[in-house]
Amino acid sequence: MSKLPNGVVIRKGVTDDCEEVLRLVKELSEYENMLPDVKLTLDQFREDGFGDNLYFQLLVAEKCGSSDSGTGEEKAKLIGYALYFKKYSTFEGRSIYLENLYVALAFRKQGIGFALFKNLAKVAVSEKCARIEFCCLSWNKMAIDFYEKIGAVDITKQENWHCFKILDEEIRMLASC
Amino acid sequence: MSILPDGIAIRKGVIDDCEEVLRLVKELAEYENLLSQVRLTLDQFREDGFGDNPYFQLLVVEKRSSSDSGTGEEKAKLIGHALYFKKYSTFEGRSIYLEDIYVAPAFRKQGIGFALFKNLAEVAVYENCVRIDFCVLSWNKMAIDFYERLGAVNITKRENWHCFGILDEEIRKLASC
Repeated sequence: MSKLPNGVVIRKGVTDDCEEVLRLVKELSEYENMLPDVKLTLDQFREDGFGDNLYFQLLVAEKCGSSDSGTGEEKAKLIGYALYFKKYSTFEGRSIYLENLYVALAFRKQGIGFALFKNLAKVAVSEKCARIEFCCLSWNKMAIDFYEKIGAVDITKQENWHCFKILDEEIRMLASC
Repeated sequence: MSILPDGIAIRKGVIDDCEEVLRLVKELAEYENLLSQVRLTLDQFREDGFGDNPYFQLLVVEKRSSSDSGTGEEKAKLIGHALYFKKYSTFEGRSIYLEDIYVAPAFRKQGIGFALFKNLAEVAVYENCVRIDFCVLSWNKMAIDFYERLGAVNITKRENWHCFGILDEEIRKLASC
């Protein structure tokens, strides 16, 4: 069983976390060499996560820092997150899609990624979801090894599924043709 | 601009369509050589689509046939469907995920698949979704050619994204470890 390092907790994300999470989203995208593709604004991110029409849920990994001003106050900062939403599989039914999972570089190999996945699995069980899906870049061997250790299967390799996207310009052309 | 053949209409799916849609889901899975993976029951499908916590939305393609009993009644049957739900991209934001799109083989090459995509694009524009995602089996050249003509991009080939899945047994192990 994985224990979290001292001072690190995993909790549900709230609206006040959005700015920090968006910073971590951009860190992850930079690692993936895709930072220019991130077009999200903070306002939209807050609205989509915590407004009237929810598009995603958040788990965050928070590290409580020790006071550095002698006042006894602890500053907490976010060092990781998982962004997910419900999905549906015509094979198994209720599922969860994990859009992003990220632990800041300085906090890797301390069981935080595993703890995020464990928390997500608990959500899945509680919501009766029989499947968790996500995507990973094929060159990210370190991540793939980790995912495979927790029981994930590369269904692109194993079953030949390829991912496709249609973006805004093409969507609007289709809608108006 | 695509015009649907006579007697064919695309509309929003309703709870009474579930039995027929599940039949079409299984037809598609059989075509993909994956019928043994379909574990959905009709009750669960109805609940997940039309219960208190909906997991998906449906578009259905209905064909009206003329009465063959002289009573003047028209029998309608479903000959295609699109099953989709909202998704979130940390690149672009609000998105739609198209889990299934299917037109029965006898009705192919009549613009019905295109019309389903057009309807989906209209939903996307209405909901301010700037991305549509879906997966295709890499050997399904006919489908891939069609999707690419609509403007879809294979991001497994182009950007090296691989799909991963964690199934129920592994999820439960993770949740309880």
